[in-house]
Amino acid sequence: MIFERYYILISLILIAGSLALVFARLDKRRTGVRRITLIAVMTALSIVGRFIFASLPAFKPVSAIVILTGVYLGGEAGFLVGSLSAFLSNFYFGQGPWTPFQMTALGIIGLLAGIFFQKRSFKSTVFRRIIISIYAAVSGVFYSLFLDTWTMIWTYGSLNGPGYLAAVLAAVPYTALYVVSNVSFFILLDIPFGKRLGRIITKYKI
Amino acid sequence: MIERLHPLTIFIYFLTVSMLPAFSRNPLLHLLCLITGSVMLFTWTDVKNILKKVPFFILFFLIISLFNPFFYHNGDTVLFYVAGRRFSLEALLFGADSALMVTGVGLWFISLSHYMTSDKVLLLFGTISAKAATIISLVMRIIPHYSLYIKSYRKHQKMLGLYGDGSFLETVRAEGKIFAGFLTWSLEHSMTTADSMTARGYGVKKRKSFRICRFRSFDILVICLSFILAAFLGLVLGKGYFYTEYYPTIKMPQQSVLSIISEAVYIIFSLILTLNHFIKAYYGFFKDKQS
Repeated sequence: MIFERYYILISLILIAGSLALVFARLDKRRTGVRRITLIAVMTALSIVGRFIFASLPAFKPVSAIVILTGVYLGGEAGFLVGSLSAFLSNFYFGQGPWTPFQMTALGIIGLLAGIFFQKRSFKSTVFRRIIISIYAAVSGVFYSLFLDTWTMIWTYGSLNGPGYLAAVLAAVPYTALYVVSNVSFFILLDIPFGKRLGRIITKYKI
Repeated sequence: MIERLHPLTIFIYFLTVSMLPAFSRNPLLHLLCLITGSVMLFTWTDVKNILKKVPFFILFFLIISLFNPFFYHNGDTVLFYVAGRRFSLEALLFGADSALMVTGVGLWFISLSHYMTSDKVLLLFGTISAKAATIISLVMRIIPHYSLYIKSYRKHQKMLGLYGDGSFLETVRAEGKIFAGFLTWSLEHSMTTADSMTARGYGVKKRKSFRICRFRSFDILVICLSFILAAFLGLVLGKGYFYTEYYPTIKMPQQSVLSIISEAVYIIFSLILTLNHFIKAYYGFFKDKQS
């Protein structure tokens, strides 16, 4: 054992390194200019959403917008919007060692949304919307659990069961709020975003 | 001083200084981290601003330190029982130690996010991924631009008498309409941005980028010192000179020559970049008195 709290060091190096690798890999992929500006707009919207709801704890449209981006623009866009909106909005809400964890969690949510649900036509059926809402709820739970892992490592310096349970139990109200806000914002925003993004994508052949 | 350093140097320096104590389990090191972190705050903000943050940090500290004993019951010195479970002094102190560490690192990160301005972040990010850096710079432009647009849009709606009669339901409906119009406009506008980016040569293969930050010899010195400090303190921590046992009873490590040296080295290194600021402030103070 080199450090007494070596789990912190190793987890931070692993997560920051893997994020850097993913970003470097995404840089190799060719992305059209129009797609890049669309991603920037979606990132800006999610950050502004986080600002607007700053006074309410955990009730944020960020994950919902990330999922929408993943669904309509693909996994790469979902990942970029998720990770970059976590990174940039933390300049206002407080940067810290938790930033890479938030970036990874939101990025994975966007990426998986793209992998599972991306499709070419933009007419959303009720069934599809219900399934994506369930995904939104699950992603809220995932986000909370992922960050609780960090809370445990950060406060105890090691992996331990009771510590994790304590962190999860303390975060239960937040988890519930994440789930509620993800689902409600997704249902609220799906139709307006889908209609407009679909129009843009067919009009400009993105 | 610090703002003139290369962003990579700033990043490495702040991470070394703030994270090294976090890897130990020693309250003394955590306290040092907290103190030097608060000294660092004084280099860029004034006492009034810091006092505003104090209640938040005290609350934060209390929550974290009281959190631990309610979930951990394996200390020997029992203070009282909560619902049949032990509330031990050791668990309380362990929680306080964790809280001290988290607060100290928090203070350092506040300074870090002050000194890492957006252009520095872009430079650092751009070396990893140019695409992400482009998106970040676009977002930086988009947010103020779009918030101006939405404000003027709202004014127009009010002027035209389309904002409703002031009742809650009407306001919500009008805001929804504004949001929908804004969304269409913003997506459409991003396409214009994309076209002008292409017209100005975005994505052309052979190009150079201008960088405002230069890597000076002082940067190399600071980075080398950071690595030396990390290696030295890492070795001392690895030897167990700072290992504090909490359960079942608290056993503080004996202060030895090596641990005192490493504490002194840590203090000097974490304050070395603030020196310039305080010397300047000191002389400025005297000049004011003389004139």
